[in-house]
Amino acid sequence: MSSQSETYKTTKSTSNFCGQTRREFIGNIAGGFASLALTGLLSTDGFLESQVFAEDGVTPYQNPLSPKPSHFTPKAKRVIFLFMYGGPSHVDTFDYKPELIRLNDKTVQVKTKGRGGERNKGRIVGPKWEFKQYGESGQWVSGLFPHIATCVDDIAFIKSMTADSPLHGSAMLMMNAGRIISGHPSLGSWVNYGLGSENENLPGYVVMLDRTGGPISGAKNWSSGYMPAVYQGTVFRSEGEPILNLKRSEDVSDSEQRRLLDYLRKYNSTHLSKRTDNTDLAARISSYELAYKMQSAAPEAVDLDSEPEHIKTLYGIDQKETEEYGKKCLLARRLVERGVRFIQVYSGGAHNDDNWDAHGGIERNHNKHAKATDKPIAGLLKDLKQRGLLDETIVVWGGEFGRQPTAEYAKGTGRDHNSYGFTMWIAGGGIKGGISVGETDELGSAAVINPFHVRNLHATILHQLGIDPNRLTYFHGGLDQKLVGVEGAEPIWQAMS
Amino acid sequence: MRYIYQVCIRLLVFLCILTFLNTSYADDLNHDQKIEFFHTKVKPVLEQNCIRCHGGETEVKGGLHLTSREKILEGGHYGAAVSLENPTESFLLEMVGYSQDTAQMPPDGKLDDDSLEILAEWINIGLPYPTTTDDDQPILHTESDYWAYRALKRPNVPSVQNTDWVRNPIDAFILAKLEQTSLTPASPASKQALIRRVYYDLTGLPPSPDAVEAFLNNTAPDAYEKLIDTLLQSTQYGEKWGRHWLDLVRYAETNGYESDSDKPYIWRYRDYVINSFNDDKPYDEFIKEQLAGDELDTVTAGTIIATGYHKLGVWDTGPADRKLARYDYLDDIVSTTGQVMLGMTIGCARCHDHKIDPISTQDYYSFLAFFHDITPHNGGPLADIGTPEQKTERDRLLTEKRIAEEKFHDELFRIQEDIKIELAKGHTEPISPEIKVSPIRDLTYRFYRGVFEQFPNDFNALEPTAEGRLFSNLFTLTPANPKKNIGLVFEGILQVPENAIYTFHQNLNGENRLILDGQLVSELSGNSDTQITLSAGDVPIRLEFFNKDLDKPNLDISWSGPNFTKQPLSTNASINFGKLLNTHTDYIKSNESLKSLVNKYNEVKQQRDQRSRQRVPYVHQALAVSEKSQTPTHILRRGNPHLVGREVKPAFPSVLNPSTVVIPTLPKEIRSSGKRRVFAEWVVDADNPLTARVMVNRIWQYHFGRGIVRSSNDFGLLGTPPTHPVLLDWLASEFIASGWRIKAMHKLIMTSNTYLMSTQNNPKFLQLDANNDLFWRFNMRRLAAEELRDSVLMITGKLNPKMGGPSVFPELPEEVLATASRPRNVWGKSPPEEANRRSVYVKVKRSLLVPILNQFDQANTDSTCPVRFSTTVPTQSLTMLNGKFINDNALSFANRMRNEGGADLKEQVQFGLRHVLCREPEQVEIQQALTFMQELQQHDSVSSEVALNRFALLALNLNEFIFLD
Repeated sequence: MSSQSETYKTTKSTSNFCGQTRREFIGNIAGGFASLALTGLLSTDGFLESQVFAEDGVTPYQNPLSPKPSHFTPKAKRVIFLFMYGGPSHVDTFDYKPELIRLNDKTVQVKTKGRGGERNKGRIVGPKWEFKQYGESGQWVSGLFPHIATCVDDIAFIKSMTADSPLHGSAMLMMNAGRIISGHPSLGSWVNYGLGSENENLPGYVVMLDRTGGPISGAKNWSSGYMPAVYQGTVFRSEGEPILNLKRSEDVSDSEQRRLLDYLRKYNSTHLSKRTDNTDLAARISSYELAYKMQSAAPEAVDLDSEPEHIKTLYGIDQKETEEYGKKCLLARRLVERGVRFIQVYSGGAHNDDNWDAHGGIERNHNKHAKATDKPIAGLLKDLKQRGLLDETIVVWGGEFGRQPTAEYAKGTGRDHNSYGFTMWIAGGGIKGGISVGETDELGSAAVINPFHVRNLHATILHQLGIDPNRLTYFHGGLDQKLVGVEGAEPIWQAMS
Repeated sequence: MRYIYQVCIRLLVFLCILTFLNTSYADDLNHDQKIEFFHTKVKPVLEQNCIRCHGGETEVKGGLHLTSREKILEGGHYGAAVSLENPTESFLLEMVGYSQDTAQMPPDGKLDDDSLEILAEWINIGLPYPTTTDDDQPILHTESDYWAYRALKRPNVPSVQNTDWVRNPIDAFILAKLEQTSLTPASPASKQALIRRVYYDLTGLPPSPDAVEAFLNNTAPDAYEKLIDTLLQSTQYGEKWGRHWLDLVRYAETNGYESDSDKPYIWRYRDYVINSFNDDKPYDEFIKEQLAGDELDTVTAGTIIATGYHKLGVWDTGPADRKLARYDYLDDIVSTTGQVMLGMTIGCARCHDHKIDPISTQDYYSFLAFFHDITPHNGGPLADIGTPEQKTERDRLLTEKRIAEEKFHDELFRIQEDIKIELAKGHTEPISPEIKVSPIRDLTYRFYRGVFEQFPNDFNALEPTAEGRLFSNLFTLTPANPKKNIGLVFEGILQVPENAIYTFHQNLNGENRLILDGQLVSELSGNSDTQITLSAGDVPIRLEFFNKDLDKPNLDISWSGPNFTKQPLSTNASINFGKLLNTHTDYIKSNESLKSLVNKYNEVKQQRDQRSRQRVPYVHQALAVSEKSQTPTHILRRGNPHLVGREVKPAFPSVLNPSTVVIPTLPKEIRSSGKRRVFAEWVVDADNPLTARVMVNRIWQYHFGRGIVRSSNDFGLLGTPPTHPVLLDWLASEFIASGWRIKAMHKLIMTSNTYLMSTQNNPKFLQLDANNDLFWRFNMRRLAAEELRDSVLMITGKLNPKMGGPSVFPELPEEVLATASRPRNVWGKSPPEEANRRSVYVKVKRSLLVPILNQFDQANTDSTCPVRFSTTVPTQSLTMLNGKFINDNALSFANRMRNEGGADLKEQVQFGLRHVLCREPEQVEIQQALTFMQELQQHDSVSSEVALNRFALLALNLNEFIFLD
């Protein structure tokens, strides 16, 4: 890790004080943050407010989601996180391990830890799909993803991911919020806290769930933790009413509602006139106008009918298996176009084979979920690219962990969880395409070369958005909390172009 | 590699600072900025590292005082500490820089680079040092004279000029500070504003129009005091103030994480909190009960329930690292207890010494040691908390159920055997492959349950509990249920093949008699062989068996003869009856007597199942603390449970100069270490400088919208200092003197002129004190999530005032349920009138939040919530315009206006506004509503009825309804 720190130092340190003169630097320390004593010189440079709402609850109102400047020039403006809930098998998808083919069905010594506990040996299950090299860069992709295979020159594969837990509940919390302990804000909350949202008519942090249900722990996965609820994810649906309570009650016409809002404003303005100093009152008045605008902006955003047929085909919306995920990916693109900052699209929900959790048999499970997502994801990447949006949008793919090279049971091809090593990929937003970073051992059981923790992935995403992951802090419980933890984390420099 | 990046960057910054040292930039900072730099940067470093030895009033180490600029420049025994001419050559920097082997400060370890930079910069900009502060306290606090750790002394009430304004001493403290400025207190609030404020503050609900009218018309001088007294006596008071406490202790009813399973009976803790507030339980008792209710002299159901405090946090049923999870769980208790009861962020010292506050890792683990033996959530059984009567009643019901089930068992067994026998009659082949051949025929059993103290001599004189035939014709214990305190008598015919000597092999661990042909053959327990001569043909055989209290009675008999060895006369096996019936379905259909037997069997079985399903409820259990065997507590290096350091004993944080901890031996019947009681007694000791200060500050906060210390969970150096430290001390002294009575504090605070002020703005004052630090007026506030929901229900007349009991489930939209991984089972269903109970009784499920409560900033349940957020976002407006809850209620509200408001539409509107605003509406406001409804009818072609429905919705969205003056 120290070599990466060096990298950071030489790459990011500047000859002046983050672009300020020394006088400004000291002046800012003295002037702005009296209540946040000794939070470290660098976090007090005034570029980023350390806290939008003080915990005292009396700090004057400002729209917490209004856009905020980043620490430095960002490479990306927005994030689409394609969450393969349940944990896709890296050795069956992108992490090619010929050794597994040779050892298929043989019992070998290998240390694993999953829901079934720790084991020291197991029966190897070879990859069930043929791997081939694709693109100019020659990245390996299995037969599960023929469409994504055509996009590999835009993708950086991180093949040495590690996480702290091989169990869904805590691993989901880690991938979403950086800790296995409940109660911390999720990545999307941090991004919106740090940067605000570009479109006030839409939520800044959108989550789209699988038809079968939410992931384990439900709303905890898009929670804002100890931050205000304004930073939590808003569940968006690709069918029906996109946001809860967005639609007027059926028997209320638009003009009726408009009239109601006009009269509401009259009453509220009279009330405000004697209390003009209270910005909360004014904010609440304007929030009704925003809500009204949202009622038309959100349905417009989800109106996929306005898309031409060839685009729908590109996302696989014309086919039954790919329709659901295709719609969500297309919706993600439309939200990106409209300035939504962070979008998370779940593949898989509920329990067992409703998601990528292939305990029973790898083939049936992964065929189903790969089929449902391959074309939509490739469509999304291509569509973003052809619109010039990929440059400013980071697309992240992966689950909360990977799967073991060995079988979970005496018979069959089911694989247990694996947090010792797995693959995630990122594309767009200044990420270098056509590369693989890090490696697992020859069985794919654990990351051995350049291992990266989930925190490094989070740091990478924040960094590309122009945020220094080690300076984005929120004061809570006596500590300056960070997404990347008190110890901090380096971005994955190798993945950046 | 911790902090390596930051350290690198900081070193660079440091180097840059050094490079700039001799430039003139330093002079460009004005005096205020320099002093600010001292306060925010230098002071913490000095306080944390230096002042222990260089800050005392009299003797200091090396003669160096760091308590003023002059003294530093004066220096100590080794000369001047600082050179302003050549800052980099300052002796102080040499010492802290560890540049010499002998002169190194602080002696216990080099400062971090941050601190070194700060000290260098401090000297470089000319050693700025403030002279005095507001309250004449030392500028640098040695640890024990830091305001929050200082012993509590009752301050004198200050004298003021405008004595007329002083209604009680609180006002003198507030006014004294105001009079130092040009600010003056705001005018008193109107009676209308006041009654609404008081109702919400004490009950979380709006006053009814009748209550408003009565108060406005009551001109008695004590009308206001009476109002406070009445509300303090109302049961709604506990529901409002209990909720504040529940925020602090992160109350939730599920465990979070993967399964988010229920915490059984935890609602009893919620009721305990509500009742404690309603009973005005002294705060010290309240604390003791929660921390150590199981270890007190008088343990009651209530004190046991109170210890549910230790089980409220999140808990991972399947953690990745069990040891780490164990310490995460304990950390949660330590952090919560530290912040909530002491205002100390002690949790920050888990991995390293607290960066700012004088709390070491040793302090942390010594603190944790008090809680170290607590079993994790599922570790202990639920505590029994019933009254003796409840327990007797439950025992009676359990016995009744057991007897009924035993009867069913006896009957079912008898019918089963009869069916098998009937079935065998029609078959030459064995009816089941499991059947063994027996030399006995016509074997019957008589079963006796619990009717005797010892092995009866004459079973024939006793009435059997059950009797019947045994299809297997082998001795067996299967008729017995239960297996203790039972007797069994078997009688049959042994078919003896020839005249010979036979051996009976017995292995029986109950008492028994084997009788052949009327003769006692054997009555031995254990292994025995008995030989007996028998003649060929039918010989009556009888076995009597008795088991008093053996857990596993054993009945094993076989015999051997001249031509065979060890043929069994007993069996442990039983035929799978369901399978047997299935195999012979067709035959059973064809045989009338079998058919009726099977019908009878099914009928009885159904009755049995029905009875079994009737649970005897655990009416008197609680999720409470329990401890397992005591294990030593160790310091865990870097907080890592796998890096075990040295052992620590329970101890209080050293900065508070505590006494040594002595854990007395508790009486045997108390099955815990007694450590928590010792801890609890220290917390509420009148000498503890923090407890009373922290709690009065909270009471103040919930009345005024902010605490005297705004960071009400953090009284340390990272917290915000008190705006009125002397008032805080006075209140804390009052609190203890009142016997820790919270209601007395409400009365005191609410009868001050400070509380009675209006929220009226004064632009000039606002400019001078935008944050209202001086309390020159009362702060407006938005209703809390629960207040909003409860008020809507109250206004529409649907609020169900029922108190206590298991939580309720208001209807949730499908869209919300769909976010759960088990959408169908995630939420319960309550009848409408139950769902309309106060929000404090709504189920608190960690992974599924009720939208209206969540959106209006209910407390986060994963860590202690000292102050609610108050956010304003468009999704709230969507919920209040389009949501089902608000629209259903708007309709009810409109109906109420129609039914109770009067015949005239104007009266109806007046009625509605009166309820929403808690005042008489003005004519123009009524007129505006009428115009609105007219326009709706004219332009949007809605009926007059619908128009009023819309007005009801509008009224529930008014800012005046949602904000309090």
